[in-house]
Amino acid sequence: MRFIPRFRRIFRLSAFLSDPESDLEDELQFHFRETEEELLASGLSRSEAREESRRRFGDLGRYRTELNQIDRKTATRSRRLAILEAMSQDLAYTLRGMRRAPGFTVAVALTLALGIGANATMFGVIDRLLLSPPAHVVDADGVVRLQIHRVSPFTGEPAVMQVMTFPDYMDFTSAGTLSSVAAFGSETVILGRGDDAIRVEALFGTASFYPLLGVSPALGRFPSELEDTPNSAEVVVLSHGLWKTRYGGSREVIGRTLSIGDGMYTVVGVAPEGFNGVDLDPVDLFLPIHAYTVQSDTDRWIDGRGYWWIRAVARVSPSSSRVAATEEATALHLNGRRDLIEEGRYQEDARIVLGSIKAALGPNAPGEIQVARWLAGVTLIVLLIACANVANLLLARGARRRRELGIRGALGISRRRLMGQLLLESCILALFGGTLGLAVAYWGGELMRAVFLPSVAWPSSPVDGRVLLFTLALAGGTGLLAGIAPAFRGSRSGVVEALKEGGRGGTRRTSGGQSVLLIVQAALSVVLLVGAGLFVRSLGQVNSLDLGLEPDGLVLATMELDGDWEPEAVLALGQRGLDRIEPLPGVLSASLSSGIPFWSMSAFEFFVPELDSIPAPRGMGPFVTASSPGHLSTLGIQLKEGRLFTEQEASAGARVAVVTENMARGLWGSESAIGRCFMVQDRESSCWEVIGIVEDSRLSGVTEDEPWQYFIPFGDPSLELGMNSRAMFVRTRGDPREVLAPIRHELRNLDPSVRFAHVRLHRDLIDPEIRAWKLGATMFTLFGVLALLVAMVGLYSVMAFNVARRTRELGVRSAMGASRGRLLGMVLRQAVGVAGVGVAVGMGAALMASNSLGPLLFDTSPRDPIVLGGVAISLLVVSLLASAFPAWTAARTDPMGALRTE
Amino acid sequence: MSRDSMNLLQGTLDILVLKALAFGPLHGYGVARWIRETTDDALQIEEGALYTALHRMQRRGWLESDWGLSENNRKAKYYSLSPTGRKQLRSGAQSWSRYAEAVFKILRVPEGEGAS
Repeated sequence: MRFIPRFRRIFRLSAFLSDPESDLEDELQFHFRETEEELLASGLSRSEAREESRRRFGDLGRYRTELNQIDRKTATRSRRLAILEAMSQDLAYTLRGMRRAPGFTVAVALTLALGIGANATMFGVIDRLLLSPPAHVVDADGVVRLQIHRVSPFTGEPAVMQVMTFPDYMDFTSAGTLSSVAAFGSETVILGRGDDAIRVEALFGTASFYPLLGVSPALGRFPSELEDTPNSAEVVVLSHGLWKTRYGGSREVIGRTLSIGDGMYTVVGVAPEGFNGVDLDPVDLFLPIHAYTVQSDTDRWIDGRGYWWIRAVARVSPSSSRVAATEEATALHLNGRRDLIEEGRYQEDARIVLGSIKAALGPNAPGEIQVARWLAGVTLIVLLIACANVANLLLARGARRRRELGIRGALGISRRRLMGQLLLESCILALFGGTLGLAVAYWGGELMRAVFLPSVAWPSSPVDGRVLLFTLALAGGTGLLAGIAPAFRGSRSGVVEALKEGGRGGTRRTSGGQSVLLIVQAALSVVLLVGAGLFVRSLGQVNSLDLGLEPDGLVLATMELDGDWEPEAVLALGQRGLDRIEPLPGVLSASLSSGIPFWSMSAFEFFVPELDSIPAPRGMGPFVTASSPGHLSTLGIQLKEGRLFTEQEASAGARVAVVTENMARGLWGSESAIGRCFMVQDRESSCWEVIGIVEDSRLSGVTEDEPWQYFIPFGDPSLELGMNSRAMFVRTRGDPREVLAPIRHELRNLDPSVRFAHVRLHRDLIDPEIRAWKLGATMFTLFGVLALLVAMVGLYSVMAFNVARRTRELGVRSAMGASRGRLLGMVLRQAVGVAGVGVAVGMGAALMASNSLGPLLFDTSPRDPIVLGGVAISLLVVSLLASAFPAWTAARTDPMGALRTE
Repeated sequence: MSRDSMNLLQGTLDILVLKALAFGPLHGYGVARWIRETTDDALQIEEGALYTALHRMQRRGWLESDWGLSENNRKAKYYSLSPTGRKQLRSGAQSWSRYAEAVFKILRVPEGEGAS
């Protein structure tokens, strides 16, 4: 066919370079020239040919516009395609490179997985604790907690307290600046009867609580105003969890009557899944606030201004400011307590503070939540170290690839594209790391929840949508952060130098950047290790505290009884329980007590004949414990002087007492306290004779000072101590957990009116107090060691790489007569030098940060020299270890071999 | 013959252009000339419409274009069929043939046998 011209491609159209408009003009010009020539050849004149060619084409102006429009769209589309194509090329190139270096890929992905995983774990925790408002609360930012700022009656220090009395809450209901107010309290209650009775957490809330939060039930309804009066509070709403586990999620449960504590309640609704009021701990039942009086046998919980048990939440009216609301609430509060203030029994400068609805931000947040906040910062440091390490590995790899990158640059790849390729590589590595990190987050999250923050009601999975998004964003950011410097350097490779230097160049410049990264890693590791050391020291201090009593192997049992019991009858029942428990295998001794250390304490007015007033001891007191004989030895409290009271004395109602050493010393100085006497409650009452002195023991808290204490036998009805004597202590041999079930069984079957026997390790009361330090010590140590390992690997790889690259130089040195020791020292000096600078920088940073860590520590200075010294030494030792092998390789360099490698 | 003696449907023009390119790469002038000479200028296509078809099909990815030298050494834009364009030509030609056959069938019916 003669029209088909000889076709020769002269250049590929680049979507970026061509200009569609001028292309079109070229095309049209060609068309008209060809047509006119054809027409001229057929005999037309030039002007005729010109006219005819225009006629054949049609309306040129219209077509030109139309064609330009089409071409613009085509250009956009092909530009997009070109970008996509370039990206997929780069991706394939990157993946190919990774397959070629699997060791490098795995090392980087694992390093990042640990860093990202740790962060995702902590994000999950922090998100629940600090970032997310309580579940199902509508417009949570508008809800405030009403808190009282005053001098604490417990510590004597000014503090913000959430707890108040019911009349205090009622004062706030008339506030015009508050659009709604609600109150709630919580308590552990027994649900059900007989063998399937369980202990559950109940929230007692006003009817206004639920509409204020805006929560709607999953089934049925929440209690109404009419159901929250002193005589009608007989309805209950189940939590979603309890409804599912105990009642099989059946709708039939509505209308059923449940036995809860001392009353009967009709189920009217089921709360939505995950709703547990505004606090972090789980709730199983929602009861009207007036039900509390039934549970506790006294109306004082509702009308007494001395019964502190509720907390209040409110919404500020849209037309008022927070300041105005605070002022009005304070005025109402002081007005309500005017009588008490006039009597000097309440502070007139108390004021109301509006607090965040997020419980973890409140003044009563437990220590482990504060530690968790720190840990979130710590994980970020771990990630930074991981980033620095990955950047170092990438730099080393980049240096090894200088030749390749130089050639690629010479082949016409733009610097921008080359940089993009290098960044893509680090981002893909980070994405691998992030994926693995999700697994870390899952396991880490489960661990954190179960071991360190068990008192928080967690949503179902540690990895939810928010954690997923966070991880993704973090992986992207990590990829960019770790990759930016290596990409910048890699893309700068001049082709000529790269080829000239061969495989050995760039020593000085590259190792400069690497040294900085190594120093950063070392410094950050130091910060973490110092934190770890301080927490470990604190935990050690806490654990080595002499509690006085021996909590290990001590079992605590309490019973819930049906009906009204006289103190004597309770005591007799307890005695029968002791008789049944003492013969059990694994039980050494058992006793009854009016108080439970770390849980409850009692005090009466106290008088000593020879003293006008009783000095106030540092640890407060004196506190009294009435008990059966043998209680002190069951607790493991040592007798220091005199004797303990006997069975005979106890049953005869003898007025004998045992006091603690600090109390004896405080009251009677250096003279012996044995034979002294004191009066309780009434100065004129008959006197209690001191017959023995025991070691001091802690009572209110693990880290509180030991209070003054005295121990007396049961039996004085005037002291009404017997009525609380439901606590039973059992000293066990072997694993105390094995006797829990037998003890529970014996107590349950002791009497038909025993509704529930709560048997647990006494440690369970102490452990939550220590948990914050345990969490800090464990996690800081874990992350610190992790950081150190990563830093060690980083140092090793950089040193090994440098030695390998300097083979020629080392060979020359060796040939010139440098001894092996000299070569060895050269490498080691470099490593220790880098580590030394890192330690110095890290110490400075740690000292600055540790001041704010101070309040979380126990009996440990933030500048503890042992911790600081230990960390410095261990870091230097690790740097020596990491560089030992590369140094040895350097020392063994064979001069001939090294020179021949070129 | 008047200019609008034959009003080509756009789809038909596309098929003609694709067919012209089926023999190998061509510039716009070549396509116009091939159609004109093959049909003995019976279709009287406005060349502007032809270029519109070319550019539109390029945007759809049926055609690819490259700059090359023509037989008299001028820089010219050459169009060639992409795999999609080839497919498009096959299916377009088939449906056009079916359409044409149907029209022919009707036209072949003798006038006395019209719809009763």
